Parts: sequence; C-alpha cells; structure tokens
Amino acid sequence: MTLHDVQKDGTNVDLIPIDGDAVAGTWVFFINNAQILSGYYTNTTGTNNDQVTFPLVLGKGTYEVSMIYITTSSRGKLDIALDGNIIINQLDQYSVASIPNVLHRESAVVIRHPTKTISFTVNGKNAASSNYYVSCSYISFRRVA
Amino acid sequence: MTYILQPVGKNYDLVIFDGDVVQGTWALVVNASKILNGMYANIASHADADEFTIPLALGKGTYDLHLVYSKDSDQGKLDVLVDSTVVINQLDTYDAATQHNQIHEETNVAIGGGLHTLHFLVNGKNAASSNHIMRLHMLSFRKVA
Repeated sequence: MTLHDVQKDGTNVDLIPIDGDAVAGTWVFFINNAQILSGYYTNTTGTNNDQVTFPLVLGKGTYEVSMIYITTSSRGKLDIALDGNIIINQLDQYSVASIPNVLHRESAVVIRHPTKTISFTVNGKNAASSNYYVSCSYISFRRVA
Repeated sequence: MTYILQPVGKNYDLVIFDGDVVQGTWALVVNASKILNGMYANIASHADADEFTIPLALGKGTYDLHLVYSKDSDQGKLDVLVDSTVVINQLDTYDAATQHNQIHEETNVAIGGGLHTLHFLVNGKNAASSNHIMRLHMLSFRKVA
C-alpha cells in the first residue's frame, strides 16, 4: 500500500507555479510587474499542446479552485488536469487588449482519490488569437466539503 | 479495505488574493511596494464590518500564525476568526504613515480537524484613522504541535 492508496481527506493547497516539469514546449516564469506575484508562468514556445506538470498531492474532498492569469491577444486556451482528469476545460485566455490579474474560479471540484500531478496543457486557441501562449500566476485549492 | 484518515496538519501559506465576500467590495490590487506585488483590499467600500471568508482545511494541530498586512492612515482594525473563534482580535492597522508588509504573529493557535471557515472582518478603527480600509497580503500557518 502506498500513500496514494489511502483515502486521505484533503487540506488546502496554494500553488505558485515557478518551476514545472516540461512535457512539451519551453516554460518559464515571465516577469510582469502589472501582475500579482510580479509575473506568470508561461510557454515561450507558444505551440498548441505545450504541456507542463507539477507534483501536487491533494486528498479527497470537494474544492473551490481559483486561478489568476493574464489575457492578451496572443493567448491560447488552457486545460488544467489532475492526474489526467480535466478540472478547467479550454479556458480562453484571449482578449484584444491585455488584462492582468483575471480570476477564474471553479466552485466545486470533486476529488475522489488523492492526486499526484497537476498539468497545464495548451488546447487550441480563439480564432482571433495570434498564438498559443497561456499563463498562470497562481492557483489555489480550498477544500469546502 | 478503505482507509479514512484525518490529516494531522501541515504548514500552509495562504495567499490572500480572493475570497468569498460577505460585506463590502474586496478586490485584488497590484502594488509594487507590497510583498507578492499586490494586496486584497476593500478600498471601494471601506466600511466597518466589511468581511470576506476563505474555506480552510488544515488538519488538526497547534499553529503559529503570521499575518502579512500593511498599515496606513486610512485603515481600520481587523478580526480574524476560525469559524466563530477569534484568533486575531482587533489588530489596529492604523499608522500615520504608510507601513508596507507588516507582520503580526499569534502563537499556539489550536485548530481542529475537518472543515473550517476563515473570516477576515473589519471591526472598528483607531480614533485617528480616517477610514476602515484593510490591506492584506498573506497568512501563514506553521504547525508547532
């Protein structure tokens, strides 16, 4: 039996993505002083299907998930998944003018088994967007049930 | 065999960038002088009893709390509660001059297992203060027992 076989109740986790494990593309923390935390994690390659993962242990429970990012005219759509299960689906980060500190919230993400990995994956783009860059400054998991 | 385990507690750094608003208008504000390049503040409403909450699941234990906040001449007093228990009582955040990134410590705060609600509540103000604004950055929980 491993840690992840145990149905352990979850606790809050706040993740500031700074250094992930790139699966596809090049990912860096990009400094931008208009943004909280002075920047955001992004894929400088700007290619569809760029992907990065982070180890993330979350126990079972229902979570309020909040994520802060920046929109611009060159942004793609972002999938966020826990162990391959998508919890944020094709979040469109495109906007004509740049908007920093955009908050996206999922109010009831149910986790039935403890997780090991969170992944960010570029999954398409708005037809008006010029590229496939995505961004994330911060993501929090706050357990509500 | 299914195991249901209660977490025994862990350190947790809560980044205060969004909450569930009970009263007032709370917003993320970028400010390069603040730790994390921003703050969560009720600048638009700035009324007594302004409040927001954050779901909290930490695990049972005794914690040292460190609140990072700012002081200014327009600020009120702050209560922080875990459920209905006051853990920080009328912290006076008034100062005649701006003081960024102040740290307030509360030691040996007992927190039970299970789900809780963390309340941030404006509760009065210093007689010298011009308003009831609150500027908050982060709250760390360091498990000590």
